[in-house]
Amino acid sequence: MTELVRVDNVSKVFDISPPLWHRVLTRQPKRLVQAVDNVSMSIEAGQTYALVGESGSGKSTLARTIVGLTPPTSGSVWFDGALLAGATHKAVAPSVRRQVQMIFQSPYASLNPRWRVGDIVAEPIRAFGLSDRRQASRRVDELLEQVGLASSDAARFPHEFSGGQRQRISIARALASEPRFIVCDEPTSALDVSVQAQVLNLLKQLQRDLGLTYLFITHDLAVVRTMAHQIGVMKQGALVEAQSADALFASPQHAYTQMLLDSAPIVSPKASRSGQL
Amino acid sequence: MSALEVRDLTVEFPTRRGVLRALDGVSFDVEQGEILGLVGESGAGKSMTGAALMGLLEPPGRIVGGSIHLHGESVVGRAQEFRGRHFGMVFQDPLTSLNPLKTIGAQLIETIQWHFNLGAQQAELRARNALAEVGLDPDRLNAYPHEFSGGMRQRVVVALALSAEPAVLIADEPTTALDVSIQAQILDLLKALCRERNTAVILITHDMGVVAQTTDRVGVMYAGRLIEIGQTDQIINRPAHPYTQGLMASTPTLAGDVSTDLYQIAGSMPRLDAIPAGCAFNPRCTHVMPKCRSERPPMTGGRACWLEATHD
Repeated sequence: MTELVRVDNVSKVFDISPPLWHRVLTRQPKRLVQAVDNVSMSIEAGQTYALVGESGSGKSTLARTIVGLTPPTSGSVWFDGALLAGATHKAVAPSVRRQVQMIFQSPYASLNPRWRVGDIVAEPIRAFGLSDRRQASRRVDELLEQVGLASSDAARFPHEFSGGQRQRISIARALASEPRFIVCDEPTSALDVSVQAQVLNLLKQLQRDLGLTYLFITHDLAVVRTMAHQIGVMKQGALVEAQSADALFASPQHAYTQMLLDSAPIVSPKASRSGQL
Repeated sequence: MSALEVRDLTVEFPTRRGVLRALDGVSFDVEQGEILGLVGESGAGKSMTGAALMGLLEPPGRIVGGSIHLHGESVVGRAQEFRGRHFGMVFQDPLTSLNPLKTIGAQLIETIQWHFNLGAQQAELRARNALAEVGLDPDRLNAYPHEFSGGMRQRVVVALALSAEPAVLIADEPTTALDVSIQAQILDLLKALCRERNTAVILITHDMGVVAQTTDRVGVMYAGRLIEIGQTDQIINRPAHPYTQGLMASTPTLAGDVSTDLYQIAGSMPRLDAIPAGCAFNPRCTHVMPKCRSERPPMTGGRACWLEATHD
């Protein structure tokens, strides 16, 4: 097993103080929120690392920090030995940036409604100067087919698609720069069960075909079970438990993990905790 | 007699491009003290059913056929008399169902005084009791909604909905906006309160886990129709309709593993303007027969399907 992504003591502190003059006049101290608290982790190539935790536990902030959307307050993130995100304002090489992509939760908010699907999917190709215009449009067709859409869909607008289809467009866009690592932030929590199954299976198939590495963020432990090789559990900004999926589901070490497992709704009523259905 | 009897409920939306049938012949009963789950994917008509019962259909939508009876009394066309008093409602988002400018005490007391002829002191006493019943400190009557967490707000909404002692409580995705640990608390609370008061509950959700944990019976909806209804245990462990079978199989479980793909139903639910003839599920069904494409299967023995029953 080779490590692809390494997170080294990453912390993220947000300053939520009132404006300076207000603070000085009312003699209040600065107010800081520790969203991510000294997190270190290692993600193996070709595997899926799932981050779980409840709302506000810092999992999305950590993900945004890892891809470089928000700089960490301290610590650093390394991708295949190269700097991906750090507290110092060192520029990240485009050749590294290209290999890291993100899929967001809401397929309604993450696609520009005024752009045609073809332009949306071609944007990373253009941004990184990966190929000329003619080749790019052929590549877009290929990407759309790869995620189960038709190449003719390139001429349509996002509003013409359902939630699941839009998430497929997001996946095609993420694949456009030929990344090795994709951060998926709750990619199916806005989708229906049958559509969720389609999107999760697509992600698994792409992982098999392209050898992708995923950081998969979710609050749904059943989804984690079908997707993750490694699991990190976050609580109040800190990583409280990190284990292989099999070990974690067999014997959760941290009380918080146990609590999450206990409160996950169980689909079979025969196995229900209360037994009083 | 059942507390609530819904027969052939049909709701239509006239649009410029023709009439859309959002609910098509939906029938079910709910007993007093029973929790009926309504499940389905977005657009299946489960929220529409709740809205039709409450008389909250957005115009131009209207009930064009069927009946709703509460203890034998017809409700259709008299929703205002029943809403709040006999039909309580809990919505998905607790923040938007509370008035941010009024204390929760003021909102509770307003509701109680609207439904019962009570003086200020008695109403306040009742409001305090209502808060205590949902597990909140009665002294927080003077707090505003923003001072509560999401789970506590949903408790307030439950207290509001139950304060008029309705015969039927309709909970539309009451825990979708909440974390799993809070979700379990709210579902347990709903269950306990309704058992205690013998309230009939319709729990609308897309989450099979919530259904398994909370309901006595479940109705499965697809494209505006009820396609299967039965005991929760039976629907989850031995679903009889091919759609329910597919839905159950595609739901991720803690017993799954990384190396196997989830079961996948091909395609997606039809839009309301393109519902196929016959059984609405036929284009996606793996057991489709010629009859399925021409004739709509009636609800027999708890499911609407032409396929010969394989068990039971």
